[in-house]
Amino acid sequence: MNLLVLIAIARGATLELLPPSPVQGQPVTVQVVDEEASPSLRVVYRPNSAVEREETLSFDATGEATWVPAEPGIAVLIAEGDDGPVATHHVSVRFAAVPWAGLAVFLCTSTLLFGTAAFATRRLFVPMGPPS
Amino acid sequence: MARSQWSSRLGFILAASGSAIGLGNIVFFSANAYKFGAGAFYLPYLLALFVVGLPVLLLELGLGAWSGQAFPAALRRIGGRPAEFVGWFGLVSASFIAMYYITILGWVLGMWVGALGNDLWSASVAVPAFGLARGDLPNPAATFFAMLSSWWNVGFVALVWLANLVITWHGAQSIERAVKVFVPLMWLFMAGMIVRGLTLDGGLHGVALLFTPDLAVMSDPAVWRGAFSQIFFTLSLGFGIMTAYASYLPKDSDQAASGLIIASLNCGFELVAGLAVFSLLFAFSMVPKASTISMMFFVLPQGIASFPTGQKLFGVLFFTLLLVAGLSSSVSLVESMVGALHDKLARRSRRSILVGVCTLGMAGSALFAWPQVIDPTLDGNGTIGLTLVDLVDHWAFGYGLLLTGLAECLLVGWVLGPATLRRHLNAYGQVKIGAWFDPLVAYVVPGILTALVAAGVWGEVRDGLYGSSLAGAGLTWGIGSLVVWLGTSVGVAALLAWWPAEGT
Repeated sequence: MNLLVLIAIARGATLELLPPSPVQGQPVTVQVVDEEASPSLRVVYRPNSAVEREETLSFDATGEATWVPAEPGIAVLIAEGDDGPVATHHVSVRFAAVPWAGLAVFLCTSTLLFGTAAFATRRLFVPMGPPS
Repeated sequence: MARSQWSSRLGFILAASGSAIGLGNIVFFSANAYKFGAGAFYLPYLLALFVVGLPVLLLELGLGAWSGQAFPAALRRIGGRPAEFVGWFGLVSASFIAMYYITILGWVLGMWVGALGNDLWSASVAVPAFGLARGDLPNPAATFFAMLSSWWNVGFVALVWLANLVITWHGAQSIERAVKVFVPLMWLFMAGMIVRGLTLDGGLHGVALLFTPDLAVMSDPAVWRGAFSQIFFTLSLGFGIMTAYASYLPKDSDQAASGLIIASLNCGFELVAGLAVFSLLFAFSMVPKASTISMMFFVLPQGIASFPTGQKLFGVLFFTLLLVAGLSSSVSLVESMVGALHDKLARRSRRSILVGVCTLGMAGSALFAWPQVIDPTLDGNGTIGLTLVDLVDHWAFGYGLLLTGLAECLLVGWVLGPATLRRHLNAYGQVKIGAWFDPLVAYVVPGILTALVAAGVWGEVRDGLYGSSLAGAGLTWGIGSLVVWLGTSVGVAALLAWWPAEGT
């Protein structure tokens, strides 16, 4: 296993996002700063996971690209030139609306797990008759 | 032979849940959940709890109560010496795990000491052993590798072994006293971490990420494989711990209710740990590796270091939480081996067996803490010790426990008969186990465990034996580690299984 997670690969260039906290489905302007060449922009969703997904965008002549985040979660933006990555940026994409399904899973699971613990604890400490 | 006994049902529940809740619940669960798509992982994981986790947990608790003996002796009652061999094989694998688990706990202790000072949070740390200057690595990673490459880490490991010896000295009684403090502390400290995580900007979005189902990703078989493996490991199944702990209860104890409490508290703790970890990951846009070590020593401390205020307070809180959770688990690993050996070698005193186990264990842990640098570029694991942890974890944790779990299900499902065990559990239980238990133990769980092992073996064939690409010190690490683990586990298990039992 390679344990090091965050390795700086930038050559002085940086990526700037507007707005800085992206929201799923809403366009974000990505600008590469301090880089003369016009690199492409690779977006990695769920980076370092077994189910990561990528999309590739292009910068225009002014060094800007428009990215519409396809899904919420953590993503890495990598500006790539001819010789490889020139800048990286980690970003968290927020949910566009209240994630009702997630809220339901959380509430149901909490109730199930802690309810089961409470039910079984009550049963455990109730005196019982002779074995059947 | 007088066996140790829990003084109360509460003591048993705290000890068993403390055993199940360990480092894995805090960091391994979150690392695995992230690896397999967070929201896509959670529902398969929950299903796995009911299909695999709960039946095997009930089986192991039932074995302990039914036989009144530790894991190998309990299995021997079902299938003679070959079955006893299975029990010892599982325990030897668990002993390998105990050795590196306690080494990792030693590193947690080292980081806890680091967290008390300023190095971890503000000043840059140089790591001369790896040729790294100040600022080359983020502080938590630099502090970790500086400790890892010094002999201090062996000292920390010795201290953790000493703590294990003290806590297990009086058997169930002293373990019970310790967990009555440790387990409530764990929940309290975790509550502190959750409050901090959820109040970070974007923290709630991180929580939503963990629980919002992603059906597209969920269709990937790897997600299901990860979820079923997680549930097997998180409940400490295949270690023989639950059988040993249940054997210290009176025969008429309610094992079904105990199993429900242990499973739900264990998974409940993972749920709340997920709240804390995912809020932190999202708030600071951190990208974890699916590795406990990476999550525990680099990613989460780096997140804590990014807090606007209170880094030291929450850093110390985090490492104390890990220490307490880890100790309540490691004592159960030690006790399961000591209890089994005491059943076998009844003429020896329990304390002499305990001292022997701890001495051997400390020697093994010292190897896992060996600070010699073999990979200065950090492309791999850095030191001999960490390389050994990586390899042994892969074999003992990834295969040893699954194989033991598979064999115990086959023994109960096909030799003893699951209905026999179920009747025993129901005779003394307020919570009755239905007939669903029988086909799960006889067919479904063995089928799933076989698929998990087969998928692992197929991965070794397709991608090459794990560790083959590891270089360093001129050794063939992959095949070497497999031979050492398998040879030792089979050899020691065979020796113990066919060794005449004393005084029974």
